[in-house]
Amino acid sequence: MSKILKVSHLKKSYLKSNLELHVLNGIDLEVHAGTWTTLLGSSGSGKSTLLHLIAGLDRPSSGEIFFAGQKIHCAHAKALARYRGEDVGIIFQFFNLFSALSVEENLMLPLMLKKQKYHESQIEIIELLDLLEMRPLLNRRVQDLSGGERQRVALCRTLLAKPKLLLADEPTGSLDQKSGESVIALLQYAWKKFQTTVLMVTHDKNLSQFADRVLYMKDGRLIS
Amino acid sequence: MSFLTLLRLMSGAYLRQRPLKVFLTVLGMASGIAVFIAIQIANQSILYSFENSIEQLSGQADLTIFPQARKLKDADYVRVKKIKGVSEVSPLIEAFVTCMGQKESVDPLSKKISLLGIDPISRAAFFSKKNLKLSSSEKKLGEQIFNLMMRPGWVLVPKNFLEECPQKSKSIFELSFSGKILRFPYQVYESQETQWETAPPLLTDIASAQELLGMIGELSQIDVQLQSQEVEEWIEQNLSQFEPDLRVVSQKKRLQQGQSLLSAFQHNLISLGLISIFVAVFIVYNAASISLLYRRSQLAVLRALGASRPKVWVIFLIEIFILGLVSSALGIVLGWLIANLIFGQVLETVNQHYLSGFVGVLYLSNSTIFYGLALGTLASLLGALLPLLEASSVSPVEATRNLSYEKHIRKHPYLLLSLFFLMMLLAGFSYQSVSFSQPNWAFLVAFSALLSILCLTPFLLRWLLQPLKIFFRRTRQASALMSSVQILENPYRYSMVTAALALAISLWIGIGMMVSSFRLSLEDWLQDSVPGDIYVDLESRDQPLNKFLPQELYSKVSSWPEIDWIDTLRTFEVDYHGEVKKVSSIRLSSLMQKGYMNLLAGQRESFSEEEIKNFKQSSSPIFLSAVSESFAQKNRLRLDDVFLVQSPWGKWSFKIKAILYDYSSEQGVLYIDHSQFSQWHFQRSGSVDDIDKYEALAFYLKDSSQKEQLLQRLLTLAESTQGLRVRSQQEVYDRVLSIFDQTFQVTQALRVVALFVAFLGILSTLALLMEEKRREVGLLQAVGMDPVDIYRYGFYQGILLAWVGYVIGAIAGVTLCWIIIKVVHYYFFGWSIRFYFNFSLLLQSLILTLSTGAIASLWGIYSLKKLQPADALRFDE
Repeated sequence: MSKILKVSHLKKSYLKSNLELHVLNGIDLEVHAGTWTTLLGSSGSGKSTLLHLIAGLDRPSSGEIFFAGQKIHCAHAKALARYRGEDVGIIFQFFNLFSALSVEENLMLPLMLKKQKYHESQIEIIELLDLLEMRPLLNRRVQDLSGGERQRVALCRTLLAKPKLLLADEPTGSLDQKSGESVIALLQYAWKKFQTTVLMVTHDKNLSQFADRVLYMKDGRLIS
Repeated sequence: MSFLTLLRLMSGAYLRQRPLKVFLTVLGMASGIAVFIAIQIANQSILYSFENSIEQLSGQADLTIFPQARKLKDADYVRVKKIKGVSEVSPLIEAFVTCMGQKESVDPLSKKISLLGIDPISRAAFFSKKNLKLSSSEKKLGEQIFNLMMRPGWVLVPKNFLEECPQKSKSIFELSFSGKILRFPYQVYESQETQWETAPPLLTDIASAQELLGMIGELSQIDVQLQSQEVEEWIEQNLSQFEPDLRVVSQKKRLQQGQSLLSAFQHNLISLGLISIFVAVFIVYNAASISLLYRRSQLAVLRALGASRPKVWVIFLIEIFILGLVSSALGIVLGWLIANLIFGQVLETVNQHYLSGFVGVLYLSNSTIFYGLALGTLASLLGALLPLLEASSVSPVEATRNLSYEKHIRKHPYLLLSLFFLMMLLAGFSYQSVSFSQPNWAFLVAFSALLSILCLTPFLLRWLLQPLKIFFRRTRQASALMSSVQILENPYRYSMVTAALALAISLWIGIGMMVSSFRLSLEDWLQDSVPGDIYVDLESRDQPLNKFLPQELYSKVSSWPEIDWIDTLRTFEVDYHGEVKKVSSIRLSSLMQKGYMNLLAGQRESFSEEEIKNFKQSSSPIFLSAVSESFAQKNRLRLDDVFLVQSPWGKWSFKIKAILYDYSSEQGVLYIDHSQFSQWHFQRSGSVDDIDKYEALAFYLKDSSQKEQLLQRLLTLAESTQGLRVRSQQEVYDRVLSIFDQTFQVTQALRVVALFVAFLGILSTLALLMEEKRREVGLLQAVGMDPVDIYRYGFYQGILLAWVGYVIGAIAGVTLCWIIIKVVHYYFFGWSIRFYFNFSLLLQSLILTLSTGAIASLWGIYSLKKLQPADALRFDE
């Protein structure tokens, strides 16, 4: 299996009230294509920050990130936006759907950014929702959805962009157990169906059972 | 925790974190107040200067005697002194002279100054009689004036005027007066504006003034102080000794007349100022809403920790109060600066239309400062009241949730609809109540109509943007779609900034369209009311009363072959119900028969020579007249009504046979045929000497191709006749229109400021709203939106808001224009102005509004320039 992600000596620090806060203290990580990696760690260990850096949502203080051989750590803003839109997808703990948009509109947004034709987008959305048995949600308003439904819609939105790397930041963190299980089941299905790569961070050890590989984070370092 | 600590934590921290945004809010508010203050300063200064100029000229006189049917002579001064009850009498010469500087020609709009010829001895007695205390500088000036008596022909020139009107020679001063050049030796005196209150005048002794101005034996006025008698009573008893030849006016009445003359003009300006404040209130509302929104979680924590609702109230009230106070103070300073800019224009307008030759200086009174501070603070508190009520009514739990503000207001759209209907009702009620005697209701019509339209902003916002949202979705314009969604999601919050912009645009369009409609009406009116090919009158309109063209002029030019006929103008003033009205004696019959004069009502045939001849045969002095619309409307007179006036030659009756469109005077003008005037004048005096005296002549040519030739002939004649002015019809048009344009320059300046205030509002609000939406922006970046799309997202927000603001503003603007024309101007000035729809103005306004939105959005986008998506998506801020 080829390496899809390589992270070397990655550091991230913030300046808060004149104090430098070191969140990541030299992370080295390699992820192979098509694998599921789970990153476990307690709150404040830096796992979300690592995910944000890999997703191109933030810039590292030092170190390197390579995605399929391409430099991400120093990519230009436009290239980074393309990377976020085409290569990598992220789902968040708090879903981050646009509450003002309907489910269909939320799903259509990444396709619109790719300038995909309206009707083609519609067909693609319906096909995916049918596949994931979520068609009834199509015309619902985001505000009317349950937490589990929202997270599933967020996953759909990410999958529509056909990402090679799917990042999940505490995807069940805001859900009850039943909803959490359904979201994880959907994530597993998508991982297998679309043969994507999954990197999930969580503090819930029970979720590590699906992973090919489990890593632990503490104080901004990978400890195993 | 003490209250002050709470205040420091809640307000201080917020203000410190966002200094630029707070500054923009303060600047927006200050600009709104500044407009109002500038107008207030300009208006007050004019009134104050007017009152003071009368007081200073007349030295606290009880009454003043002016020339009327004849000139005021030195002999009158001697005669008045002997009348019983008179204590002190002082003669005065006053003329307005124009600076020539180093230029050969006189610019009609160049600096004017009053030249006073006084009798220092009688004037001094005036002041001592009233026990007026003189300052040391006044005493020094008095000494200079007394010394001047020893040097006949010399004039005292205020130092500041010398700086404004530099002279070629160091010993001889040159000025223009009625087309002739005055040259005199001069001495400079130190003038303090506070000493004179009005602009310091040129001073000389009365004999020198008479000689210099060519008024030997004549006076401009005689000021009288009475012993102890009541002024009105004295006038009643002694009036027969003066009138109709001379006019006796108590000082109190002069002040009242001046104030009433200026009131309509000032009301119009003040209403404009109030609209600016209205715009500023919107800005405060926005700023307060957003600042409270930012601190919702802090509020929730405060409330959860046990802070009572009143305590939360007081904290924010104090914050708003301080901001309001700072804005007001800044507004007063800005207002003073704007007043300096516009005062010249206001003064010129007052000079052209109301008080000819009036000179004033800018004056900032303590009451204006207090008024500005109070109004600004009150407007701030008013603007913040609703957000504050909303904030304090939210429960601590609800306050921590996103969007509860919108949800909260969304529950009550009927409030806005109710307000809309209420305002519509108020507009209707005000429209029913407005009358010529109660014109102020017209402003309420305008305000309530504007407000009612603005109440519909959230609804119009949805109606206008919903189709656009669908369009953007179908055309896959993600940035535009997200912008429209963003606005549609928060219609009430965005409505405030849209309404502020719409208000400013409505002012822009409303005033602009009114001015263009008025100008077109004026142009139409000029075609029929200034029909002569060439006009001849006196060079300056600042000449003393009873100055006529040389009598031989008419007889000389009437025989010239190229002239078809000549219209003549002779004006005089009459008293109608205590108000001075102007009567123009013209060749009314000829003008009517030839189809000139703009008739609003009546028949031209009523002025046929036969009708006038028949009318002349009646036994009492009754005139067939055409009256201006404003005169008829304000005095509730209709066709065929007969009314009585006090003319300089006794009581005269006028019968209205026509009502004319007439924009020459808001006080109204009465037109009579000169043949009737001549007949009555002859019957009274038994002499023809005084009949054929004219102030102006209008020449109508047999063949218009000979115009240039005649013009040259008349100009040659004018060269040899002092003070004569010859103008072609086009020159008269141009002059009238230039005065018109100048009059509305103040209004134009004000609407620019109103737009600027709205711009600041939209600028700060968009920036604040954009910052509030940083999470959404971060998310858009997370799903793949690139920096250009993010810029577009912000840009579209500005453009979409501007578009909605424009549509609402255009509707409100056209409504406002209609109300100004058909209600405000009609009831204040008595003018029917035609409404012209100005498409180019609407297009110009669209470009202007979209540009405003685009520029304002750049600020919002700029604030997000360095935003990292991860920072925006983080929850633990």
